[in-house]
This record gives sequence, structure tokens and C-alpha cells, in this order.
Amino acid sequence: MCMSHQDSIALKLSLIDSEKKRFPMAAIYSLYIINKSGGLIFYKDYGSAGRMDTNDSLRVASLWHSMHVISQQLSPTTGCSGIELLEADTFDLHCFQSLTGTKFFVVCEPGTQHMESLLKDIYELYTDYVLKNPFYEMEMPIRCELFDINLSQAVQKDRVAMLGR
Amino acid sequence: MAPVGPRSGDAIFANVERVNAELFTLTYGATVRQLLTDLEEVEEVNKQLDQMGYNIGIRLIDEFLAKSNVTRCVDFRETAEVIAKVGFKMFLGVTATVSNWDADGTCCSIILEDNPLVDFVELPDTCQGLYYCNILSGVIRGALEMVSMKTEVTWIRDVLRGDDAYELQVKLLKQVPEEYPYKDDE
Repeated sequence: MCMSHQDSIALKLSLIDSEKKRFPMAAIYSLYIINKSGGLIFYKDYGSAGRMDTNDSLRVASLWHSMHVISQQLSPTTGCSGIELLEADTFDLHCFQSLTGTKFFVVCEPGTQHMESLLKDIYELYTDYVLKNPFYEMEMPIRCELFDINLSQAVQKDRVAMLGR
Repeated sequence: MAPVGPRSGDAIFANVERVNAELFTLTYGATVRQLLTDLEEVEEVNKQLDQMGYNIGIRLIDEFLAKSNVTRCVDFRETAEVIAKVGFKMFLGVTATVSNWDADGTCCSIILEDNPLVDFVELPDTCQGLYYCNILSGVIRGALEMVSMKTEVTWIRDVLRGDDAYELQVKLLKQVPEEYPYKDDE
């Protein structure tokens, strides 16, 4: 099939429009980081949907930690590393667990793509700007300015990339 | 999304932020020198360097995992290879070789031909008991502990003490199972 250059641009633009209709606002609702013993060490929400107060976010974090462990034990396959994606009617939850046991998970709009790579990027940011911060104590809540700055940039970049897809 | 395969040590080394090698060497040298002044006892300095390395190792392992994309190693042999080929390359820019395996695969030697920590270094007679690079053994011990391997790391050969290479013996003491709860009945 042959397609002129203009056609392909028009097609791309219409795709972007339809994507915008499907994702009218922030696709990521919130981000959680849990340490290896299940404590919430970082929570941030984006946009109004799914916003939670401190107690609720702590509850979600410890609930998720336990469910993740239970899922590993219930799994019929050996060497299962726990739930990676939970799909609900109103949200998706993508989870990434590093080999050291720290869990990163995002709650986002159903059907949001490429969350695995975003989580991977966030893991890298965590190693660069949290673990290398000499004032950060391991397993404690994260209060690192550079991490916050770079994290919002990464999330912003992800949104722009998503609109362009 | 296609899964990303493990990256080679060279590829990572080319991409990470680096500092000037001489600045690094001299900073490390200054640190050791200061420890010798502060602690006076050479044995204490060895201990302190190991502890500093351990503290580095428990944080550094995450950076290693995040940037190298390595997945869980099947056995300790693979772990040692990954440390030598990817780990040393990524953080120090040199590669090491693994040899001298014992029969059950729990003890091996990591041999460094080239060691950027020791440029410009000579040990004076008063410091003969010093393991100048003891920080490295601490780093390996700390890093492996975070991925549930208890190890013991000791120096076998050290060029600063007149040997022909740097040889680190890594001995796997036990593998801590990761499953929760650690014991159902307790």
C-alpha cells in the first residue's frame, strides 16, 4: 500500500486527536514506593482522581504489600514474583518489584500503556537521587528534593510521549 | 513492550556519569590517609574501610540492578561472573576474572589485573598490615547481602604487599530465603 506523506501526517494527527479524547486528563493517578518490609516510603498523587489522605495511602500500601506476598504463595507456577498488573473497572495498578525487595507501583487510568518502562525509569531515579543522597536513611520515608524534581519531569515526559503516540 | 535484555558492562560504563579517575583515586587515598591518622591502628582502619564499603554496597546494588537490567542469577557461579564482568566494569571501569572455584561452587576468587584505586600508592613500612582496598570487599559483601546472600570477602593477594595481582576471595556462607513469612510457625 502506498501512502503519500501528507496522508500519513493527517493520519497521525487524527490518531493524536483520538488519543486525546481517550485520555482527557492525567493518566497516572498516583505513585507509591514501599520498602521491603511493607512500609510506605513515598506517595504522590497526580490530578484529582483517586486522591487519598495519608491514612488511606498507608492502608493501600500495606494491603498491596500483603496481597503481593500472598499472590506469590498462591501462584501455581514456581518462582512467581507476585502481581504485576491489577486491572479493575476504574483503574489499573502496575507494580514493579526490584530484586532487593522495594516495590514501586502506579495507579492509573484503565488501559494506560507503557507503565512498565515508567516504573523502570522511576527505579533508576530512586537509585540516583534517593540512594545516593547521603542524608537519606535506608528504608525511611523519602524526602529528597532532587528526586521530586526529576520524578515530576519523568511523569511529565511520559504524559507528553503518551499524547504523541 | 519487549523485555530489555541485560546490558554489557561496557555499554553501561559508556552511559553513566563519570568522574575524573585521578580525582577519584586521590580522594580515596585522602580518605584512607585520614582514617590512618584518626584511628591510628591499622586493624581499625581495615575494619572501618570494610564498614564504609558495606554501607556503599547496600545502596549501590539497586543502582547496579536498575542500570544493568540483569535478572535473578541461577546460581552463585553466575553471580560471581556478573560481579566481575558487569559490576566492576560499570563502577570502576575495569573487568575482573573469576577463578579458583571450590568443588561445591560456593567459594571463588575474583582477580583484578588493574585497579584504579591504587594508582600513585605505596605502602610505608608502618602500614604493612593495611588492606588498602578493603572498601571493595565491603562493597561486595553489602551488595550481595541485599540480594539475600551472606558472604565473606577476604583479600588473598594484593600488589601493594608485593603480590602480582589483586585477588579477592568471595565465600558464600548462606543464602537467605526471600519468602514471607520466613517461618510459618513462628
